[in-house]
Amino acid sequence: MTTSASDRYRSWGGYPPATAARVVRVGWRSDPLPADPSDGPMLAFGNGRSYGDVCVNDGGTLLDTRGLDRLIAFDAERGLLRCESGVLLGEILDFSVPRGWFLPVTPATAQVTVGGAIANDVHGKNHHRAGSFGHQVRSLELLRSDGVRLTASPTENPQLFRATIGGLGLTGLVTQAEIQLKSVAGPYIDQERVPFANLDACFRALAEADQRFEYASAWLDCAASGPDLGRGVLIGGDHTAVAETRRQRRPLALAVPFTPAASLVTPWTLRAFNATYAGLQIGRPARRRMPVERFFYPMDRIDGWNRIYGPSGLLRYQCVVPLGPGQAAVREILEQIAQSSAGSPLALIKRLGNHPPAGVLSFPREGYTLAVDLPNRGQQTLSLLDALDQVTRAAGGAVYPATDARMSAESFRAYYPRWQELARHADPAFSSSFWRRVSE
Amino acid sequence: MPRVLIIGATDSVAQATARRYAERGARLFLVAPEPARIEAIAADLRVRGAEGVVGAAMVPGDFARHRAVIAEADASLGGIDLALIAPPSQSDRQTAEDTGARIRDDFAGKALSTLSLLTELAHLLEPRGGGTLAVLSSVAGERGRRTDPLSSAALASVTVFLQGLRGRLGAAGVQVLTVKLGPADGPYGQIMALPEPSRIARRIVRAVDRRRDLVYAPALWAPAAWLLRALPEAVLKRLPF
Repeated sequence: MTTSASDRYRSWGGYPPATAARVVRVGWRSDPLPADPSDGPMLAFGNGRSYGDVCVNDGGTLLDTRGLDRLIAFDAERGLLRCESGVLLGEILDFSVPRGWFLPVTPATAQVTVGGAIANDVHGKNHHRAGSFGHQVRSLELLRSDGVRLTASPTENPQLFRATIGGLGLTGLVTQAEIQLKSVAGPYIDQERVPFANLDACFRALAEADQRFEYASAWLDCAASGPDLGRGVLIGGDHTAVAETRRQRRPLALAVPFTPAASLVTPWTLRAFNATYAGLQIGRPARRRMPVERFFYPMDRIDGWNRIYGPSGLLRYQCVVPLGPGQAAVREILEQIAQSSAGSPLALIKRLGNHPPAGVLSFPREGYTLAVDLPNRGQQTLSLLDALDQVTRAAGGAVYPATDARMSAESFRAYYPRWQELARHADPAFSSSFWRRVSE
Repeated sequence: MPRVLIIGATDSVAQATARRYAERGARLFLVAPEPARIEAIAADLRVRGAEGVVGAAMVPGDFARHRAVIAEADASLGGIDLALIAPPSQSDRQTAEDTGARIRDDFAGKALSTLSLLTELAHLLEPRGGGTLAVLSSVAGERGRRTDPLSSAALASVTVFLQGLRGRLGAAGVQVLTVKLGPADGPYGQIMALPEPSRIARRIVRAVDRRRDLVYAPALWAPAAWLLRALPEAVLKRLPF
């Protein structure tokens, strides 16, 4: 799919607005850094799927890494893939799935680069089994602004490695990485849907799903309140055991070709959407077999879906709260959203497992993670999110930098008490709008 | 197992095309100025399934080496089924300060080197009565553009040379394919998003498979180029690009 030049260097949510003073394309891993540190801070930009400002650098230099899209080596016995950092996860799958290998961890879009997946230490629906993306990275190469190239891995420069995993791109330019893939029988997922009537049932369903499924997450209807609060459907899935040949057919590609003058996400359209979605759920079979793309990346079929939120953009709130006290926090957050009539069509909830974090600033930790997309209605929305932060902090949780556009420096430091460890390993010439917001 | 020679292999469209042939298990010979970049591409193509990839470093303006490099590729591949030439990018704009000497060097790099390479390849393929010559040109050469007359002229000369060659080599069974890309710069680049190289590559490979003479990539440029060619000079000279 194509993206027009003006749209390319914004974040996915479009808020806060930011304009880089310079954009430099990085096309070759053997080249030195193409920007001069004295021209201001620089930051790698992959495919712009971060929602807030971790991927933008207002007034600074962006290093566009999509030209670093080459594979370097593949060990077909062990499933080890070495590739450049601008390769999209979807491009890895195009290569690996026909050969019987899959990404052990994938977020809900395949349109992110390897570098972005590392910098945000992304997670997927199988965190309880596999951990986060950073756990799959065997080694990486960093190009620092002083011209030095460093290999970092759990055994070589281990502190720098752990600072880079989830390090928001601040430790230098990741030029290449080696990733462990996992063997799968075929390109299909057996999916099962488990509806639940309220939030308590949701927590039970999530706990059971961790035992039953490799992949599990649940959708909540944010419009439901009172006794129905937290009603929704859990979607579990496993790789189909039988080998099947892949039919080389691309799914129907839809696109939002331009940004409408105003957000199309309003209380009215949300109500209509929720009703339609609920209607569709009822008629569907509980078990289905589907291609991996359909299961993991339903939204990737609609190119530029973020544009329906209009020029003001959207804000995603994604937090994680510990399992025990977190249940009350999730309830509180859902109630506040329902009362605010800010309107989110759906909220996504899943349980994260108790893997030790892969990086210093990794977001995934044991607990419930809840994600909601809100149209940006200015101060009203920001106030609501500040209130949600109070709940998350009181519960001992954290907010995800990859989706954040507004958390306070104080909140950030409470969520990530080891942030100064990242600051110590950060490259002095690298920074982002996000990092200046929370660290200065 | 196709045997493919790519000159200007570091070009993004050439790279994407090479990948498609690598997926078919091709043997490839890559020519570009920078050895480190050739090696990065070669590794990628090997991982994607190429049976063998060899590279040679050459700057396009090094006319004296054209024949030797093509002979080396021919020997290394054991014959050439497809030779794809991606001339150096058109990004260097002509400026008011340009001197005659710079114009000569520029034109040599962008156009004459391609004509020289094509001539050498034609000598090789014509007696064998088979194979394909493909060159990346651009609709920016359909008519002279006020913003960059030199590049327009360079592209036009390549396109017209290919027309002549096609007539001659076609009789011998050699396919000559002109690939007309959309212009990468100027107002088009701002208004029309550049298509991904992989999509352009798919069109090129299909055009080679079908032994076509001319392919526009993206296809939208076919009617646009027709319109450009039809414009009277009186209108054309008023266009802002």
